[in-house]
Amino acid sequence: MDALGASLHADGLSVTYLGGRTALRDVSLRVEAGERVAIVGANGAGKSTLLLRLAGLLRGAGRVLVDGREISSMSQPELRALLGIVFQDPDDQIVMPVTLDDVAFGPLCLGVSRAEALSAARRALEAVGMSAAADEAPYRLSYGQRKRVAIAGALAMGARALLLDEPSAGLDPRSRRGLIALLRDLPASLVVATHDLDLARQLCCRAILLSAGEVAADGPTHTVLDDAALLEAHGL
Amino acid sequence: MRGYDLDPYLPGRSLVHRLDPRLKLLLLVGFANVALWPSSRPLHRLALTSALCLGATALAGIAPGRLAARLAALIGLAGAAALGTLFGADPAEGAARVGSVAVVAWAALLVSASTPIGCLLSALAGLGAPPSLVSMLAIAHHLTFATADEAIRTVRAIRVRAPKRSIAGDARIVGLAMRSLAARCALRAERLQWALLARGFAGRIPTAPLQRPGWRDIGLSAAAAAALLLGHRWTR
Repeated sequence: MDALGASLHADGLSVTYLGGRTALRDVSLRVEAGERVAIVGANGAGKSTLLLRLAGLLRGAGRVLVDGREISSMSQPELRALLGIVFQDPDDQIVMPVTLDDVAFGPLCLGVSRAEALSAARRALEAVGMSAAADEAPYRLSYGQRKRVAIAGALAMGARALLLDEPSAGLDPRSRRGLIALLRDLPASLVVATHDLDLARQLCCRAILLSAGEVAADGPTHTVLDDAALLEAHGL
Repeated sequence: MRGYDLDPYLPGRSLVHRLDPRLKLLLLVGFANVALWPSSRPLHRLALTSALCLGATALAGIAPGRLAARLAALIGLAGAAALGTLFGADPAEGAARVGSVAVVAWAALLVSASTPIGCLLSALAGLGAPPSLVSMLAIAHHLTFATADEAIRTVRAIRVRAPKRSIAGDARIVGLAMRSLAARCALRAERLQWALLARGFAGRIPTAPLQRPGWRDIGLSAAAAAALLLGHRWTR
């Protein structure tokens, strides 16, 4: 275990959706504790599916280990306290009618006392610059603001590994810069699925290129993203 | 999810707004019982319950028109039903029954207009409602907005792509929209389930504990309950 974050190890992940479409084929990857890895790829390459599979929300072949422990052998509270996920669309993630309650939802579900959960929620809202919206109804916020609330919800759980699906989508340039700074300082391992290649360059030291559900390249971010022929060949 | 407002809550600092939500719910149950109880003087009963509702609405500082706007569909339905009762054995009694249902709906709307949904859920939990029921209502509240959001997006998408309309064309479009809406809502519900699981949800939505009702709450509720009982005796 590393204080900087949890390690993630995926081995032979495959996912086939009902209807027969295979979204992931034998994907293996390793994310070291504290490492920040970008998952890039064209639309439909399998980035979101990979994150859902890593989070244990989709079933399929292969295994996922967090800090050396297989996630299927862990209890849900144990797994969720260790591994957080932020969905692409914040409307999928926000479930409570008041912003502060929504951010505190995860910690409360993990059995944290109400006072601690609210305190963690306030800290998380402050970290994403949304303290002023604590008492507002989330559906009254703009898309970008809801996105930040969704990220706060994951931060409040104190996860040691975070999976983020298109975290910068819908954010204005200032919020995007703030988000990058925030994610850089997080004491957690990050796996970021994104089309935002600049964000990948600024935030991640390693990039994995997914294409048609398979790993097409895995290496230092600049090496992968500067290879124009490689990106072109895989629809980027 | 902006540009429309399904949330019945209308913020305010009135006595009704600040009344303990558990007492509000208990008063609502009492009011519904009195309003719907068989009476030898149904029109008197209707006049009394309507006056109580009007008084509470005025005390809440909510313009009756704002509530009526939210009751528009119900008012239309009640009007149609009331027309039907004119042809019954006792038109006055029939109209009074339809009116009683509308008055109870008005009172329920007043409670939801003066109480944030989070407080209502806490009140339900505080009154001993099963956690599964509270969780179901919380998720249903969220899904109402999600469904409306999907419906608006579907209608908007159809409007911009089908400007020329005929009755047959409209019927076909409505059919397609319903199918699309059902599919989108099912997918949204699946993503919501993933989000709940990812945040440690184990079948129970956490609700905030409520403080004990103050003397002002108890006094106001006792006065309202006494008015209801007296009215009930008078119109029995």
